[in-house]
Amino acid sequence: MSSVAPDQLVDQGVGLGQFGAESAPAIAARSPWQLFWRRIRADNVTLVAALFIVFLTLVAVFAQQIIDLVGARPPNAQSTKYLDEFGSAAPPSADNLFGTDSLGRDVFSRTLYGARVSLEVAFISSALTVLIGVTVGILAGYYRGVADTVLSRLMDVMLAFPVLLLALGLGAACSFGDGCKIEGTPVGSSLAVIALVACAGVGLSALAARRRGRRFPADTLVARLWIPVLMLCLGLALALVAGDSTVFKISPGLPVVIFVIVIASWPHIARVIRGQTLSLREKEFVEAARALGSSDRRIMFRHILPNLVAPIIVYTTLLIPTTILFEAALSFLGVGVQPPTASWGAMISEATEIFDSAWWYMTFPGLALVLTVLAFNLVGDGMQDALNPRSSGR
Amino acid sequence: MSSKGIRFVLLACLLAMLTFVLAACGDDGPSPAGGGDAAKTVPEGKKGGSVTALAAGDVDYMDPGQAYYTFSYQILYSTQRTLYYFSPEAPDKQIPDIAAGDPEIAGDGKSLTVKLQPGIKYSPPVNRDVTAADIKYAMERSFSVNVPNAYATGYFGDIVGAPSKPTTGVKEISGIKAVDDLTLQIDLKSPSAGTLAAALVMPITVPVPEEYAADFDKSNPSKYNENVVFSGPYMVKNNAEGKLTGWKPGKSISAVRNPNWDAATDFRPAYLDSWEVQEGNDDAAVAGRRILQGQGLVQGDGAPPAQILKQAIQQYKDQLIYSPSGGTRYVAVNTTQKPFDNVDVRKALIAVFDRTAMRLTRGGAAVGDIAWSFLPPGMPGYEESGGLKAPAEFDYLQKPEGDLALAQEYMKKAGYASGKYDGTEKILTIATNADPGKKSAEVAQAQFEKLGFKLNFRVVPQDTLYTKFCGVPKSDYGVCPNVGFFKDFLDGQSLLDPTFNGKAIIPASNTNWPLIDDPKINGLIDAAKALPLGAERNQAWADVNLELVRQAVAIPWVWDKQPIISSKNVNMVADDYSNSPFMAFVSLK
Repeated sequence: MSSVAPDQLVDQGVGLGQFGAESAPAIAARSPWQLFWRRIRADNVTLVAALFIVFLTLVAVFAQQIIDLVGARPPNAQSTKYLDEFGSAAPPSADNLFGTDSLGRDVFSRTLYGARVSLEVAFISSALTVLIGVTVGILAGYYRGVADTVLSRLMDVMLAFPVLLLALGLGAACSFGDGCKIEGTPVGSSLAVIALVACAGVGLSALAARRRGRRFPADTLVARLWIPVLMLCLGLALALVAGDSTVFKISPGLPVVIFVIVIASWPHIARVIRGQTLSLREKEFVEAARALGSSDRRIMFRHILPNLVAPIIVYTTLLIPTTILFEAALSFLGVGVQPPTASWGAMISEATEIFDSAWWYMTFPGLALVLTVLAFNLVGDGMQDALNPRSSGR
Repeated sequence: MSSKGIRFVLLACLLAMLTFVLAACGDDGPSPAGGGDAAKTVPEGKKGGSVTALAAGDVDYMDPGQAYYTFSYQILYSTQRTLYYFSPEAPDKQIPDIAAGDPEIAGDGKSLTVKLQPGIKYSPPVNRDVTAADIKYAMERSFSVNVPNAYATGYFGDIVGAPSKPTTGVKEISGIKAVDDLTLQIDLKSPSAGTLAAALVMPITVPVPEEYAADFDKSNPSKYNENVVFSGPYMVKNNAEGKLTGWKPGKSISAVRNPNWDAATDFRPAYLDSWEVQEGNDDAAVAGRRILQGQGLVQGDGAPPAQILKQAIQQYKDQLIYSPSGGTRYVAVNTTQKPFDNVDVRKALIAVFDRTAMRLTRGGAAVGDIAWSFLPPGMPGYEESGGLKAPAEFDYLQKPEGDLALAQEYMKKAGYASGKYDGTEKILTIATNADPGKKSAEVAQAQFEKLGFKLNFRVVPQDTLYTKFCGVPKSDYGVCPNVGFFKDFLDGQSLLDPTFNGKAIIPASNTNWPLIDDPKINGLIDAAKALPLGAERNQAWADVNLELVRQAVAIPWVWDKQPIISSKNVNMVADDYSNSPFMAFVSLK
C-alpha cells in the first residue's frame, strides 16, 4: 500500500532502479493540478490549439489596432470602388487582403471583427450556461426528492425541445425591432416578478428543510434563507435592468443569440453535474462534513463543487465550440447578429449565393470558423485526457 | 484509435480540406465573353412542348377581379383575355383583345363604347361564348367587398353609379351597360373616357360568367378564386365542376391548352402545349443557375440576382432579354414622423444618397438608369419632366454618388447646426430578408448613417413587407428602403395617383408609402386626372412629378429594366406590361 496521500501520486518518471539505493532521491509527490499541467505540457496538439485560441483572443481584442496596422478599412465601410460594373465582389488584393463582399466591404476586417462576435458569444453564453447548469445540477443532485424531480423534469422539458427550432422561434421573435419584452406597470409588474422569484426561492428552501428531515419552522427560515435571498436579488436585478415599464426585455442582436444559446444549453451540463453530485453526496467526506454540522450551502459549494471542477472545465471547453457553431448557425439563418455587424455565420450565409464567383468570401470566414472550433475541441479533448486519473499519460 | 490519434486525423482532414478549397479556388471559371443587351424580338416558335417557370412565391389570386401582383399577371395574361392588351411587338400601343376594335369615345368624353369579337369561348365547364354582360358583371363584382380589388375605385370610380366604397354583395352599376351581347357601353361622370380607355387593359375587364360565378361570389372572400374559368389560350387544370386542380398554392401551377380557344380570335400564338410554374425556389441564385444551364426552364417571379445577371451577360447572352418595367424603385421615409416631416431633412437625405451603390445591389447599369424622379423612361410625362437628367433646380439630385457637403447644408437649414442629425432614437426600418432587397437595405443604412441617423432594422420576408409593414400605416415604420411601383397602364396617373395622393392613404394595402398628404400635390393630381389623354395631360403629370421631387417625398434610385432569363432551348418573349415571360408567346427551339 502506498503511503502517499489519496490526492497525491507517485511521480512515475522516476526510475524504479533508483529505489533502494542510498543516494535515491525522495519520492516526489504531485498534486492533481501538477499532474494535469505535466500532461498538458506533453501534449503538443493541445498546446498548439491553446496557442491558437490565445492568438485568436488577441486578434479579437486588438482587431481595430490590427486593422489600423495593416491599413485595412473598417469592417462596415462600404465602397463601390472595389466592385465591378455588376456590383460583384473583388478578389484578394493589396487593398483588401481577403477580398471584398458584394457591398465593397473588406472581408479581412470583417473576419477579424467576426472573431470578436464569436468569442464574445462563446465566452458569455458558456459562462452563463455553466453558471445556471452547475447551480441547478448541484441543487437537484444534492437535495434529490421533490427538488430533483421538479428540476429534472424541467431539464427533460428543455431537452425535449428541438433546439434549432426553439432557437429559430425565439430568434425570429426577438431579433426584430425592439426585441422581446414583457410590458407592465413599473411598480406592479416589478413587485410581481420579485414576489414570484421570492416564492420560488422560499419553496426551494422549504423543500431543502424537509429534505433534511425538519419541518419548515419560521425561526429557522431566516437562518436558511440563502436561496430565497439569492432569488430575491435576482428578481430585483431583473426589475432594475428592465427599467420603467418593461418587466423583461431581450434586445435584438447578441443578447438574443446569447439568450437562445443559454436556454438551449444549460440542461446538458445540469444533467452531468446532477449525476456527479448524486454520487459525491454519498461519499465519506460529505458524511463527515455533515456530521461536523456543516450547512447544506457549505457542503455543496465547499466540498462537492471542488470535486466537480474537472468535468466543468472539460464540459466548458467542449461547450465553447458548440456555442460558436450555434451562433454561426443562427446568423446563417438570419436570426442572429443583426446587419451590418460582422459575424462569421452571417458572412458564410451571404457568401453561399456567390461562392462560384467569389470564393474568398466564404473561404476566409469559413476557415476561421473551422479552425476556431477545431482548436477549442482539441483543447477540450486534451483537458479531458489530462484531468482523467485513469489516463495513461504521465 | 487513441484520442491523440483521432486528433491527428482531424488535423489531417483539415489540411486535406484546405487543399481542396485552394484547388477549387484556382479556377475562376470561363473568362468573360463580353456583355451586351440581347435585342428584343418576337421569334417564330415551333408548336408543342412544355416549359417550366421557376418561382419563389405564388400568385396573390387566380381570380382576375382580385389579382394585382406582377407575378399573377404573368399567369393571367396567358390564360385570360381583357378588352385590350399589348402585343410584344409593339408594347407601347394597346390593341384589341376581346374587343373587336378601338373604343368609340363620345364627343363629350363622358361615354365609351366597346364592340366585342364574336366566337370567344370560356373554358370548361362553362363552354359558352363571352358576352358584354360578362364584362359588366366582372367590373361590378370588383366593387364588392367579397372581391377585394386594389384599383377599382381608383381607376374606375368615375363610372356613373360606381360605389365609392366596396359594396356588400355584387350591386349593379348603372353606368355599365351591356347594350347587346357584343356591345358594352360605359358612362362616366366626368369627361375621362380617354383615361378609362387606357385602363381597359387591366384584369378587371376579364369576362366572368355570372350564372357560374354568382354563387361563389356570395362568399367572403369569393370562392371564384378556386373555381376560375378561362378565356385565353391556356387554362389552369380543373375538374368537371370547374374546381382548379392545377393550382397548388405555394407549390405549383399547371396550365394546359384551353380546348375552347379559337386562335383566329387572338393575337397570341400559344406555341406550347402546356407550361408549369414550380414554386418555392427561394434561392434566386440557384434557380438562376438551373435556368441558364438547364433545358426548358424560364424565370418566374422576381429578378435574377446580380451575380446571375453578370453570368448571363458574360456567358449566356442569348438567354437574356430585358423588359422595361415602367416603374421606379425608391426609399420611402415616413413623412408624418419627425424629422422626416421636414422637407430640408428629406432633401439632405436625397443629396447624401449614393444611388449608384444602391443600383449596384441589383446588378448595376444593366438593370436600368439611375432615377431622379417618379416617371420612368417610356411613360407619358417623362420627357416633359426633363428626361434622363435631373433639371438644375434640383441641386440635391445632381450627383448620383451622393454629395455629403450639400446634404449637411440642408441639414443645417433644417435646424441641425452640426449638419448631422442629433436625435438618439433608432428609426424603425423595414427590410426584406433576402437579396437583393437585403443588400439594398444595408446600403441605405450606410447612407442614413452618414447624416447621423441610426436605423433599427426589422428584417421581414418579402411577402409580408407590404401586407404587414410598409402597406400598413399604423405599423409606424420610419423607413421602407425596398419599395417600388410599376405602371398599371400607360399614363402618369397609374404611377403617381396611388402612390403620392393623400386621398389614397388607406389602413391596409396602402401604396402611398411616404404617407405624403400635401394639399398642393393632391390638387395637382386631381387636376391632371381630369384632363383627357394627350399632351396637356402628359404635361400635367410631369408637373406632379416635378412637385414630388421638389418636396423630396422619397428617394428615387433606379428606373428598372427587368432582366428575364431562360434556358438555351427556349425562345423567350417578354410581356412588357407584366415584365415577365409571356407564356402565350414563349416556345421551344
